[in-house]
Amino acid sequence: MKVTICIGSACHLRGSKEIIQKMQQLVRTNNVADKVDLNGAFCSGNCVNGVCVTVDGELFSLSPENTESFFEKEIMGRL
Amino acid sequence: MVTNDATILKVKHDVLCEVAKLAWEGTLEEKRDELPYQMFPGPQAQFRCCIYKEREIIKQRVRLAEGKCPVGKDSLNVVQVINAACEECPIASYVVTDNCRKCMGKACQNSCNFGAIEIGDSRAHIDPSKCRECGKCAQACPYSAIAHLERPCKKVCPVDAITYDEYGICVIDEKKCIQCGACIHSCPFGAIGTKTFMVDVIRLINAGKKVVAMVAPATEGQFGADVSMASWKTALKKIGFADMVEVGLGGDMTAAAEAAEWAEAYKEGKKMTTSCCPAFVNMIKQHFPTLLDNMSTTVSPMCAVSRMLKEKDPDTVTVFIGPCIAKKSETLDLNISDNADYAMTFGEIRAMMRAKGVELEPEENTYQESSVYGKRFGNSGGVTAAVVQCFKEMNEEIAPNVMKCNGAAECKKALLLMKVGKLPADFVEGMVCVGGCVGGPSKHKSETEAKKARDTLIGQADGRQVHENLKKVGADQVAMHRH
Repeated sequence: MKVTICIGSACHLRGSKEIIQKMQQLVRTNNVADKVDLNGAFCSGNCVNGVCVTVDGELFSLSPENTESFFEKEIMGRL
Repeated sequence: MVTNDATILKVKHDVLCEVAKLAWEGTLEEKRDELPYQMFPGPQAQFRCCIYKEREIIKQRVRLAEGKCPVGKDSLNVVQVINAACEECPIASYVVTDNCRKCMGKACQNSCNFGAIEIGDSRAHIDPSKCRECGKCAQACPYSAIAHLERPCKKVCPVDAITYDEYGICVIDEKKCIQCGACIHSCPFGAIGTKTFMVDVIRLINAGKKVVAMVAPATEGQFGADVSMASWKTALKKIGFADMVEVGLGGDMTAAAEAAEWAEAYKEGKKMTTSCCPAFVNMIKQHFPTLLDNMSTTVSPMCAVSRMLKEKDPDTVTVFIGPCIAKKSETLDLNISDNADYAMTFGEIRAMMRAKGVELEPEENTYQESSVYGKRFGNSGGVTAAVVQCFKEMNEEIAPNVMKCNGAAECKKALLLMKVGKLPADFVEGMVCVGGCVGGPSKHKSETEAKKARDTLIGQADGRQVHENLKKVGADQVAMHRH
């Protein structure tokens, strides 16, 4: 599964770095490193709502606070 | 440096510089659309068929400078084609030239296995629909009358990732592309470019973030013998970076970790490859995935320094600066934790400086954080030399046979041999650019042009050893493996 997280400056200032660290941690604790491929993405211009994250091409807006529930639902839920 | 793209380099650099100026001022949003008109006021075109096309290309270059894909594209690839700038070079690659004497021997016709050559009124003619581009006719002609006109971009691509669409416009097969960037400077029309993190880095500096630059080991010598690492530190601080560290230190860190890993593998009889060249890593991942298990798990020097900085202060934003395009793709691999946040080329950082009126000024070579071995990481054979030095320091009495692959073709050959179990060497040092990082696509001077200055600067460094250096700067405790 290909997950992208925007690392552009707007998303950076909204906490994309924290989201990345949380995701890396969640991938490790759930032992899914061989199934989930985490990629950074350049700004896609959708920075109005929150940090841009895509899962297999589908776009979501995240904040560091809802990363864990998002991971549970959209990533673990799809595996 | 003599290149086929001096004019294009200037245009590209001017675009980067204008974008950087607006980003520093915080007016990029309002003013970006004016840039094509400002740079090409017209009404006469300078290089292309019309002023509108020239402006359209500038518009797409501005998008790349901002880290966006050209309009109509949406992909993660770092290397991108600007369709409007691609001049649809001829696809028929073998052409009969005026040298043809319509001779009696007709070696061309006789050598062709596909019946593609007819003898016309004034010269031989190749039917493109029958030609399979084997090249036998060109070899056979005694007058060298058959020219091989391969597209420059396609010719330099080491992994055959360049194709073309129905209109003859260059298309990058992103499943094959290893982001090495060789095609970028090969195109005499400047149709291939790379997304940059320049605007992001400027915005984070403007937002007051602690941004630290990490300058590649290949840097010394690129701007003459009097532009030292200290010159870089001063100039980078002037434009708002909190500090600068030389990535040669990361070279020391990587060498020490790789030496431990290789020593173990050597005793087990396991063959291994290096993992510091990002294009080489991409080559293994995309073209030789069965060899992933043989790739060293040690992180790159860039990642090593980034981890060291983030261990000290987790809020640090780390930015790599070097001659490399593929490093950008390494920063996008988030499966590796705490790697550099962004990677930039010499051209991009110099545009950022120029936009603020800052230049690299000569300065005494007083800054040294790396051993000579780490500094030489950017040369082909440098990684091996550093690892062998570490063996000595560790009192490991092993002398492994290392195949030092200088350039993509040699890398491919070694990996192919390894894949079929016929690699004669114990280890493979893979560097996709010829000469090593010093031959990188975004170098300022060629390896030979920079050699004298590079040797002078590195010659001024003290003779500290690798492990001794790591202890001294407290870099011996950083986690050095990918996962």
